[in-house]
Amino acid sequence: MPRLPHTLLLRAYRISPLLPLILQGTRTLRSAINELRWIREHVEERTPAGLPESVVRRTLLKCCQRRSRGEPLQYILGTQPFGELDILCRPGVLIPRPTEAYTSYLAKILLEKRKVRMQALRASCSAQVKPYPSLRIVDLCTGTGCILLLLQSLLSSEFEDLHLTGWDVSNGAISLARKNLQRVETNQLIKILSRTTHSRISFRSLDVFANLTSQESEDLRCDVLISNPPYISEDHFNHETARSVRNWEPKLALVPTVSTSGSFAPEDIFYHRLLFLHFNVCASKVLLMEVGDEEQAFRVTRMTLEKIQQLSDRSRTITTEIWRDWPEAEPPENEDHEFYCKGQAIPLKGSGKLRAVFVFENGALL
Amino acid sequence: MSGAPWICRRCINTYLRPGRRRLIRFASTASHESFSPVLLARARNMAVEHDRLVEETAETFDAKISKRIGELRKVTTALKEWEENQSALSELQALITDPTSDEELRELAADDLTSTRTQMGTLSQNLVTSLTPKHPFEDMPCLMEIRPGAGGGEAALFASDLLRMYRAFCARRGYRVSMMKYDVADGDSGDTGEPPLAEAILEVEASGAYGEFRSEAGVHRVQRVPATESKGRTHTSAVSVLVLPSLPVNESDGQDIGQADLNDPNSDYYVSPADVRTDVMRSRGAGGQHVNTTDSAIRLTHIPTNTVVNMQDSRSQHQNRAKAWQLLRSKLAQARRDAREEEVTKLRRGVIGIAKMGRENKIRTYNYGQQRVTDHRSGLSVRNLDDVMEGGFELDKVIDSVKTWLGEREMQSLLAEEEEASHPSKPNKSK
Repeated sequence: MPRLPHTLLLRAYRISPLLPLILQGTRTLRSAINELRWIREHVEERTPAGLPESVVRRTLLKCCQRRSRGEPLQYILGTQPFGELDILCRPGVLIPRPTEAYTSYLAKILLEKRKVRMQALRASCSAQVKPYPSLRIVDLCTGTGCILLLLQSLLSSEFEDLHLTGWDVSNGAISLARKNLQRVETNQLIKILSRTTHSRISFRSLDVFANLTSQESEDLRCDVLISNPPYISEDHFNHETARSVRNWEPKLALVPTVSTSGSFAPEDIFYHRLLFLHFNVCASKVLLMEVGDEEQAFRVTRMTLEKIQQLSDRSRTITTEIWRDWPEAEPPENEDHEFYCKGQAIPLKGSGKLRAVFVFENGALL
Repeated sequence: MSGAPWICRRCINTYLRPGRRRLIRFASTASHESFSPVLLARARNMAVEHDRLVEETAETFDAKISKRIGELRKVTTALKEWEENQSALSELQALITDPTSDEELRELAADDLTSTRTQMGTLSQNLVTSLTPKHPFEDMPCLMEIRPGAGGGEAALFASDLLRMYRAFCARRGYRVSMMKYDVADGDSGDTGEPPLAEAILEVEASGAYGEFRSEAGVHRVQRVPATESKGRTHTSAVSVLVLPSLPVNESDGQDIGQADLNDPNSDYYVSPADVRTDVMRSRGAGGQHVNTTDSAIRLTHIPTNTVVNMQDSRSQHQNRAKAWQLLRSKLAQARRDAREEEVTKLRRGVIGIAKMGRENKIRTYNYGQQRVTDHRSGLSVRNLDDVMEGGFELDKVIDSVKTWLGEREMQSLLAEEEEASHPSKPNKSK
């Protein structure tokens, strides 16, 4: 890590004596100024009125000192915005990354599919309105539960009957996800009460690699499978992750530690398992997996295509796409639009870095 | 002392009574006999339209039409009163000139005539006021953008002073305000310990705030010895204030314009998403789980007009995006309105002279040495600078004087416009 230049530290000090501390954590002045403002707002909000100014100052200094040691701002403030939600964060659970773009894009696709289906249903039996079938979404390695909670808030207005289940191996993550659920529901109380539809959302503990009991296999059955699994290799973890990630966030959520025996890289083991669950256990029609970088996206795509080829049922047409950071955005000219793999052109959607692999069954009703 | 010259009561009244202020110039240049026939024709047209619409909507209800009826009603009632009075006047005159009427009746009529004439004056004024078009943003809440201009650090310090002044003013008036954006620059902080201001956007969430603050847009000049000056010299610097309408974000809080207007491509409030480029900070390196960034800055660029909006105040990118869109919409709506006004002014320049107002012109001077605030449009000077800077009643006085000035100008341009429309060949005949 390069040393911070003295001129920068001096400039920061002139603006506020606390800034050099934060600068050690953020490394850039602009984000340090923003973070200091957020910390100050947080401290002023939390301190009960009537306490002397010195208490506020001391708390503020403590927070800044924590930040200077590289502790993520999200752990200091206790929350991280994710889409329209505010998600609780706590040491031991991975902080939500600003990847709400693909979550909301998935929600958009699901909403469109539902619209098509509703029109079809109305056309076929206009006399009697059938209750729409429920939609089941399973999120593996859910962490704070942010993806599932955001999906729920985006979808619940249109879907009559939503069943959402988040699974994680860590008990700390499960209890935090439940807290988040409670918090989101309290914040949206009015919205929920005014709604006639109901959605059920639960968080449960599961080791994805353990032998599944029959009950668990039954509970894993769903229409949409989504996951942000650990995907960083040991080598990348040691050399390419940010200091605050390496030192403060749980390694369990970042680096797969399961011993592998297959022909794939150890950091891809989760994708192998996810593909197995998607095709063999969950009977899901849509699969969305976050990936780390370009090479991994290509490896996972290849793995997916191989898996599809092995399927016994040849009548199923399954499409694979790779989504970039902002799948809805207009793709810039200097980025590729397609990737060729096993004789197939895989579209690369949107702009930014390759972020997720999306697998769905054509013509599947949701 | 007491060197004040004698001023006639009428002048004092017209300048001090707020109810009449807008009409000063009209009252002095036009009497009831010379009520502009073009304006009268316009008023009659509007009354006809009003009656027609009322008839049409007798059975059904349409929100848009009833809104229009509401606008026209004011003109129609004013016109009706004016016409009644006019006919009374002509009847009385006929009575007086009629040789067959007896002496007593003629005296009575002469008495009545004077009172009817004076009434005529007020009624004409009412009619003109009702004809003056309302500014389309008048009823909206507003955004005030304050940016330091020429003058370096001192301008930035004065920008924070102005911000404080407007906040205090809003607090006194009971308007709810929120800071939409607050950007600071690097540099030494002033005596208050705050870093110098680079840009601030204050959102005033009271309907009608735009009408209230509309006259504040422009360059505010300050002359004082800055806190940062060591040799005691007076500096002159400038701060620019921009007042934008704050458009409703969703249907529920939009009384004035509905969602339909926001989605209608022909409306001033419409912004096509295809014209806007969104930029977010892209992390170097792998991204994803490798980093945990707190960067939530958003930049929107409206490509056809090259309008750029930056927003980074909130931790949530979602919120920053929403705020940036709100700001962009407001900026574009204001720009389109300005362009239209500019066009009209250009057409009319020969008639009413060069308009003095514009964003680029200095509108007010705050002179600390003389403890004086002068508005360059209304020409009003007040001596209680401290009260103005605290957003006190003196600031009300200044703002009201500008509003009066604006009202007069609008009326003049209305007259000019109407006369121009009726005599397109001789645009300079009016006045």
